[in-house]
Amino acid sequence: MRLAILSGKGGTGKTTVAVNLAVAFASARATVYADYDVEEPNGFIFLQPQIVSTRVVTSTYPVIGEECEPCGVCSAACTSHALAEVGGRVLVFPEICHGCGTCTLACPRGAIREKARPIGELRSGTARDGLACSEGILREGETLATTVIQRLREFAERDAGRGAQGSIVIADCPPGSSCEVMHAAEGSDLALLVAEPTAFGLHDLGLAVRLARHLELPAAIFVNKDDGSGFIDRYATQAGLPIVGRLPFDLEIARVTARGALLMDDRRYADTFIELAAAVSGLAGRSRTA
Amino acid sequence: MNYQLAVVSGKGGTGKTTVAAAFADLAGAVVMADCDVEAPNLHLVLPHETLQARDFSGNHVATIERDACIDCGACESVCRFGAVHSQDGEYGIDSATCEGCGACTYVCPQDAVTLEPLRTGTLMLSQAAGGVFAHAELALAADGSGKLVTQVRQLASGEARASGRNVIIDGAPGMGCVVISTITGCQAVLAVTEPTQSGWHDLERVLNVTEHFRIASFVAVNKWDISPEMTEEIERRCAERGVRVVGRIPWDPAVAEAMARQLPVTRVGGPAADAIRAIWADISAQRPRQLPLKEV
Repeated sequence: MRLAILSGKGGTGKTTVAVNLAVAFASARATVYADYDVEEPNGFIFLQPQIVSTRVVTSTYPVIGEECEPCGVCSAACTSHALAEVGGRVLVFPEICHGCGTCTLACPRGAIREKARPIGELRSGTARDGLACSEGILREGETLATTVIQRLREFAERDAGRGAQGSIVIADCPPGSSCEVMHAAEGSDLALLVAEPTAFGLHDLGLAVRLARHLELPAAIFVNKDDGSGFIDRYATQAGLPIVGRLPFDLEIARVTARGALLMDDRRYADTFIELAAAVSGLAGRSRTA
Repeated sequence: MNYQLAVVSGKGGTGKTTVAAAFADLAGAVVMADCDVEAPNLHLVLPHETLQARDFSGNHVATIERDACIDCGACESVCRFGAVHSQDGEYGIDSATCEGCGACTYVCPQDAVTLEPLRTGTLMLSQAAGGVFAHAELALAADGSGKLVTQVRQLASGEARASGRNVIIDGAPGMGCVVISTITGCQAVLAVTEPTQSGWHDLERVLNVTEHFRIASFVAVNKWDISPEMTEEIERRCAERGVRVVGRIPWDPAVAEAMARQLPVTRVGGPAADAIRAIWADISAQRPRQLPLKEV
């Protein structure tokens, strides 16, 4: 079973829900937590896994050989504008190259070779109760978050399906609504949308709902920082989406998460995630058999 | 030269839009830009009237002309994004995965593959109280948010040049492509953080990016009273790396109230508004000749 934790808006509590839910699951079944917010991964701050493996993520970029007689074909072929012909020379901008290799196919003299360069890193390890944890980290100054996300999916989830019956993957997705989120969320059994009852929160929850529908994922809502206003509840009723859990607006919760502690370690809040685990298992199980 | 200031954060939900909307109110005559094209919110608290909206095609998608295709699979062999698939021996392109690079068009022996422009978002120009407001909305699950941000920046810069005004930009969370497109060419960046372990972790990464691009950066700690200890720690670590913390903003229910009333928090008042006003006075004093400064 795979759960994608989404929100649209940043800072609504995706990681808070994802890490505590992962810990709630891990005591009962084989669980994988994967942090797909590769620009700003925060899950490991809470889970503190023992790192057992790291891998560098690379992308390729063109190197212009001596055979080159500048003709403008490669720079015209590059849709990323990573090549430019200036003053009778071809300049390469590796940091905006997407590594598609089109220039090597376009060059009439076969003068372009490719080199790999690091753009990020994948790390994995084990936290309490055997919780398998992975994260992707985009290098500072790099732009190819999608590549890191795709490599992380192979790295973190390759073995998940072969594991024990009833294993679960918790995918902590990036904010926003772009193809990065799509690559992190697609193919899940359930999208768990973490929402906060503010005007911004409601607007961006709408984006997350549209994205889940676009990806044909069943969706459920978790209300975070619930102030009792019924703001999200009314929207959920209209949209026909179930609310599967909530955390109250409480500065004490903010203080616990601020220091990087797990709410699962606080008896006041642990039940919220144990009940959430049961609720999402039921929903995701139903969507699988449907 | 027009002065451009971008508000970023690293971590999401730290209060970028609250601060940017308040700056718009305090700046008076100014061009605003919302570069969080994936989840834009500034339009919700910046009273405005949309003057024009147009589609933006920031990408291409490959399509195979079925009649010409001989199903040789050459396109699949060069596609590095897994966008070419075959079903029952017939080749097709998954438009959601296609990056529009065109590698397939170079190897097709039948010239059956062409690149078509793909709409990746809507670009909007609106009129707000202090001047024009450039914003956009990325098409759902589209690639190329960075290119759309560049369009918003160009729209705002053009208006700024024409009117002699400065630009205040509301940025997106993160530190990758979108944020790099947002801060490139800015004279200053204000990073709004929160006093949490995550807030600091993400702030440090975005500061490494602003430093990499050599853009002057300031920091403000929002909701600082949630953890005075962490606030002091962030201030100490910023001082160590030579980044000035220009203010602390307290947690204040007036922020949510302003959002609900669709107004900048400075129109509602309260301790958070007072703190943002002081931060604006500080930042705008850095560049008195470039930044317009109304009575604050």
